[in-house]
Amino acid sequence: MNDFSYLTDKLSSRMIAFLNDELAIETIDRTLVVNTLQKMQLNYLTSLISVEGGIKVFIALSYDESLFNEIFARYTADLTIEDDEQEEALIDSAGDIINILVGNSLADMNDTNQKMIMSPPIVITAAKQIGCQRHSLVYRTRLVTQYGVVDIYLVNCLTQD
Amino acid sequence: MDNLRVMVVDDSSITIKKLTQTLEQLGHQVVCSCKTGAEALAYYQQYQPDIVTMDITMPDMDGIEATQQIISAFPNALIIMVTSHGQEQMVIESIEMGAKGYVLKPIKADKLANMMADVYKKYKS
Repeated sequence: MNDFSYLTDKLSSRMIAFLNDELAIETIDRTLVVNTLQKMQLNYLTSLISVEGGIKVFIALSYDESLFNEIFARYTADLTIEDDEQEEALIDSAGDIINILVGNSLADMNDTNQKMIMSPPIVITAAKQIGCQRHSLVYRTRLVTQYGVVDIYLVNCLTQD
Repeated sequence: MDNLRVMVVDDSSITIKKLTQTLEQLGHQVVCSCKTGAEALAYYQQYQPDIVTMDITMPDMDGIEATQQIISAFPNALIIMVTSHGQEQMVIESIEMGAKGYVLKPIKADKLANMMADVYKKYKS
């Protein structure tokens, strides 16, 4: 198993654990697709982080609207959020989750003590697709829950002709 | 160990709310919060908190540089990094810059309470 496959496995395992342990949302199914894609088809809300250091990758979580709304409701259940804070809270929640997920997953593979720099998260809601570098290798794991799906993308930016 | 005056630095409004709620439940007072490393130095100077919780990854000035600047101006400042596992090397850098400890996300009240108590007892007694 190479670093990308290993990280893909860690990301999905960590996400399943986060959904279950922190939010009490059970994952019903997990499917992995590895492909060279020209475009990533996005769902309702997508959060992204780039990682540089021992490994150079681009990671995205793309949620169905119904699933993210459920996650947001549970993640912020004990907090007071005013109406005018809702949009920022939604974006920050998506950012928090990918930050925790990627950080925890990188720790599982960081046995070389190399410095890994994670970018601050980016959250997008309107995009439908992202174009990929030609022949970028894309690992997509789809997690299915009763509230909808989340697609976990890992893009190996260094794959060339 | 309670009733400490705490400053929270994190670029996520949700993390600030979660940390504030947890700290208040632990009996502490969050005297101020800010979302950038640049604001952190100014706020520290203004509020002189007992302890700072500091995020590492922030858009303008990261938590390591902010820690370095606060410690340069206030050598006795007690700063605890709040981060995720994968930034271990960045945590080590933060400690080298003067941070006194770290807690991992997702934030757990008991671990945060223990770290704050350990740091405060070690450096203030």
